[in-house]
Amino acid sequence: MIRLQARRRHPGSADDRLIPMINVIFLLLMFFLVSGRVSERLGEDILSPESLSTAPLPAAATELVLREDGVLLLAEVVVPVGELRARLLAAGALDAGLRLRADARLEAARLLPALEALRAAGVERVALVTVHRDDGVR
Amino acid sequence: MAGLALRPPRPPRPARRVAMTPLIDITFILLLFFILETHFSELRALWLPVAAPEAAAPAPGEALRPLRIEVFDDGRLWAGGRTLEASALGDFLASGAWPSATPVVIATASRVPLQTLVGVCDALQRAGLQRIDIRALDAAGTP
Repeated sequence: MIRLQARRRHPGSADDRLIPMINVIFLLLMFFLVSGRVSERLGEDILSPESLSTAPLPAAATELVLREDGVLLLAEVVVPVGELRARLLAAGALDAGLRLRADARLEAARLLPALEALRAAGVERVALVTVHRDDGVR
Repeated sequence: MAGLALRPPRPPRPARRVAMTPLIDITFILLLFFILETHFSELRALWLPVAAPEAAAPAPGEALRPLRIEVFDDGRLWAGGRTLEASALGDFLASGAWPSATPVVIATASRVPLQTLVGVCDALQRAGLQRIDIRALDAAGTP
């Protein structure tokens, strides 16, 4: 005759019941470590425009931020449009290249003066920071 | 045999257990840090030419006719003598077979959002057109 016995509980501590939870948390942690990127932050409440462009961002370029209200920031300091040339030259930003993180909702009337100021500063082209949108066409 | 004193064997130590609570605390803090700090969007560069306006104007003796695209506040475009929806620009450019050196002038109304202009630049660059000049519609004058 076979007698089925209830499995006896291991008399371990309460910590043992936490081990599956720790496993799951470690898995989540690994997921965020591997899949995400911490370095390139989308700061300053800037909503980057979506683009089909696949060109990589220039890594060493100086970042210029152009907020929705038209305020320009260089190294997190507000720069009046009239002083942009002097500030860029002082920061040595023109040699390393320039990338512009502008808000997608920015109106043309506020974008064009900034582009004009860049033009006056001798900038020939600027890398607009965009979020890649894949439309399936290659 | 006086120096050979045999010690009694030590009792085996109980296995040291790792304290779980501080481990979980730290893991939770790490997890929160990564959840809050990471993002998954792929950042890319769209190269905007900021050259002098003359660069987009046809050089003397240049046979290329400049392409003028006007962008209005309501999101519609004017190009090649007709009004287009923004989504139709790609088809318009594909039908024209524009040489890649064609200078393009984007004349934009004042309240057009950057996202719309980026869409136009995307379509132009996809069509191989790189000589782009963005200027204000009012200053450029309407035809």
